[in-house]
Amino acid sequence: MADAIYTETDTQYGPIGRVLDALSKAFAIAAGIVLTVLAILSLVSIIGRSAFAMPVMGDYELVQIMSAVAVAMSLPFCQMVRGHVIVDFFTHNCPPKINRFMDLIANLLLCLGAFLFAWRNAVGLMELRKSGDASMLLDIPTWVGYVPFILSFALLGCTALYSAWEDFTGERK
Amino acid sequence: QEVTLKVHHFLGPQAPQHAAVLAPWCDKLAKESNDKLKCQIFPAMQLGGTPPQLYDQARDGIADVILVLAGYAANRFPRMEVFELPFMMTNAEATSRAAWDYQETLAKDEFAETKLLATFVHGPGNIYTTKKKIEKLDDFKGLKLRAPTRQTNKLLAMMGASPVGMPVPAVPEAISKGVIDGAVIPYEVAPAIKMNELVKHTAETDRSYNALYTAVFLVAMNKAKYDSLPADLKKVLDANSGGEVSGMFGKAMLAADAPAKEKMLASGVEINVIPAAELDKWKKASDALDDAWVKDMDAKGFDGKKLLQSAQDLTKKYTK
Amino acid sequence: MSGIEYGLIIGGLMILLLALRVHIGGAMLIAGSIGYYWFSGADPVLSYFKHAAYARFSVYDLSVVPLFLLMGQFATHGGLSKALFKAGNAMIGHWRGGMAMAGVSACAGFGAICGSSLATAATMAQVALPELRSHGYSPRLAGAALAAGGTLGILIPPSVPLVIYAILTEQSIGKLFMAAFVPGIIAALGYMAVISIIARLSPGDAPAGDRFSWGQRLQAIIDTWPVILIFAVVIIGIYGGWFTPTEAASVGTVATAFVAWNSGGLKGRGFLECVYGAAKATGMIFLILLGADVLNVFLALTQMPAELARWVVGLNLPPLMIIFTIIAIYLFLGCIMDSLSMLMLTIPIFFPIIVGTDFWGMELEPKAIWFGIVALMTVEIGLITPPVGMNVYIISSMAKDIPMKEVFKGIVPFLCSDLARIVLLVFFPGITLIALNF
Ligand code: NA
Ligand code: NA
Repeated sequence: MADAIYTETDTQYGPIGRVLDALSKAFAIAAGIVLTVLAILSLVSIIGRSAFAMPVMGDYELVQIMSAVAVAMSLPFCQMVRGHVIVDFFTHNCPPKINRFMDLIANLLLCLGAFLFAWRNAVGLMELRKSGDASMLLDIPTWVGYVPFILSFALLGCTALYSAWEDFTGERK
Repeated sequence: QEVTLKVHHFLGPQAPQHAAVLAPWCDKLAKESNDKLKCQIFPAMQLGGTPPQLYDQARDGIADVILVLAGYAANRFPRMEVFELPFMMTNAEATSRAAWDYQETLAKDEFAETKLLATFVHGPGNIYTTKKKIEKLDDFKGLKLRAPTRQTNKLLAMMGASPVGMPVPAVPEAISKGVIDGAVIPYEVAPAIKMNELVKHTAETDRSYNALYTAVFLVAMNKAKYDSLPADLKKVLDANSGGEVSGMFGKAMLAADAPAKEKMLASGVEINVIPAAELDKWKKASDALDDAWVKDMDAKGFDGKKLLQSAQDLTKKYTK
Repeated sequence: MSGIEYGLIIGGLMILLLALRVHIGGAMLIAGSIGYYWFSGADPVLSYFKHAAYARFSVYDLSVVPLFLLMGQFATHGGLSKALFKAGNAMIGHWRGGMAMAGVSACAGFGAICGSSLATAATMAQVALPELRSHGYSPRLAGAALAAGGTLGILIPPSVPLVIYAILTEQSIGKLFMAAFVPGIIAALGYMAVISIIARLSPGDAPAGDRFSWGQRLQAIIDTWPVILIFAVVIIGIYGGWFTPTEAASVGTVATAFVAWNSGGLKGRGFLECVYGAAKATGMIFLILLGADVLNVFLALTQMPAELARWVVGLNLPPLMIIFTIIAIYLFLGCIMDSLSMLMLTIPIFFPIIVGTDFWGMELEPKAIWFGIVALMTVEIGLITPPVGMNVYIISSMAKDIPMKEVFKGIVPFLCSDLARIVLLVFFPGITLIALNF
């Protein structure tokens, strides 16, 4: 599992790369803040229900929405630092040029998929607004959670496209 | 031409909604169509998505037929929520029939996006508690109880309990360790979440009195799929949907309560019946919920009072 | 066409995509979507995409995953690894090979508050590797002990792969965590036994360290109190039913954040690095989850897993043959794939087979939990087997002078202890299920 290890590196990005890097980092920070708030909310709910017989109304729904948002907003950063795992067993003896070409295709596919999801989520949002779907206890409209999803998938698409560009020019690795 | 319907729902294959409602219904479709109209039932959200999304899955054709709890897609079917109000239901069969007629006459547009096949309710909800025996209204004070729907949460709060929101699978552990003092559900699912082993008391309301609460299930079909059926199969489907069938489904749900209750008794759970005189007090304590719902409907541009009255009248009409 | 045929064709497409370096989540997503489209046409697929991501990411029980990842980051930055190693070293460092055993025990301790093997290996390597080297341990043994010890990050609960398994099979996260506990301890003891044997056979690899006074030992143990407290709150809280797993992870996250802040680990870029690390891991895991979701919907539509399960059960193979075949498949896949992707890919197919087969007359729930632990133990071996062994990569990337080949050579005895443990767990399910009786 290629996870959990992150140390700041001084990757040199071009102007577009710098913008995408800053944006995906901002999304990652927002995700971290949402998660921290979620953790504190759960704590308050536990204390409320065990000490005062007063749980936080709708804590279950809030956790669902907040963790979904945090997860979605983590996606672009993961791509920006090329954190998604691949099986490079079959190709690690290939010439770097060929591997770069395959990575280019893979990143283009991810880009396509991400934009597809951004578009479909936007359609879903419109329908949810029309139907008035909402959470059970707090009446939070469901479409609200789709806004960060659309933005995150769109940004994921952009970062994947940028990675493909890096593969094309050979600027990285 | 042979047609296989993809039937999707959120419960396990052992649940009565699967085993006693959908499966027999599918068998009947197959039999009456000479095996030309069959189902493939996908339980437990196997086709993806979340339970609240089921209704839209029928609309979009991800599944051909779905079964969903109307209350999951909160706000989607506001008028239908009337049957979730406390002390609305007489018995599951009659109330299921009433729910069908009610939506046909007063709430049809809420279901315009699909071909609605049936509406039904589960058996009367009971109160299961670990330590404290519930006999009167005062006994609710300070009890931490898990409730299933928005209306039941409000109901418990009004009666003095503190409702705790948690996912159903978490209920057994939470009860066994005293995080909550009990839960509110019908008999039929109680053994499935081990209530027979975990609680000591069950408070059942006098069955001659209206039930404490119930919840509405919808069986809905994708419109295009229905339209695409050849005339003979349409006929089979028409014969197996509507008020009659809704009543039958409600009856099946009620029937599933009996063996589950037996299980509770066999495990030594004490069942006490709250008498009608006491229930009068409970009803009074929760009447404000009806008023709040009426007001909410008025605000949405409907005649709340008329809706509530019609639901009550229809239920009475089908109750023998 | 039968479900199995559909499954084979799309499975073949997916393997092709994987071999062509498509991201694992992406490969599942593409193969699954093509299969879904092929089976049902474009409209249902496009409709399904509208809500698939939100449905997958908003599963309540899955919210523990990003929380455990953030918690692991805070623990890593909080310097808790150092206290753990010190305590282990104070107690048994003077034995022959004791310092390496202390490293393993510290890995086990760190695993108790961290849900990830890589983070455990990386953190402990930072702390213990220089100490081991300066006390004359051979690079081969030092690197291998920590690479193997790192797998305890996942074998000892909390454990992200177990959460995923619990959700895929609808089992209780709390019970799986409890069940993992004893096998996790056995794993740690097994690694220590291996070190002890090596120390005896080739004393040059593992000299003895300094002896500490009982006062120093007591102090060193006391210094690990945050780890003990956080572990107790999280695991006892979940198993005791006081909290849902999400709530327990929340408590753990806040507590480790406090420890990290208190020790100065969140100063400067510390907090940002925690958040970035958690985001990177979260993004990676959930892209795979999303891809697996699409693939699983396709598989459900074709009924391939059920057909396959019926077929395998119909072969009437001896149950042991079935379970050891599955283990062999995991060991093979583990050579080239990571553990989470393997579980997500195979559990929907293997689990129905396990459900349909009788093992020692076990009921469904104990069987599901037992299989979950066996599968977890097996897929985690992939972290230390060549050619793709992430823990070994980590160790050799942190100590540039230790060649990767050396670490892989040193790993072999640890692998033997892993295999022996798996056989033990298969034949004695009671070891796994013992914790459930309390
Ligand atoms: Na762990
Ligand atoms: Na490997």
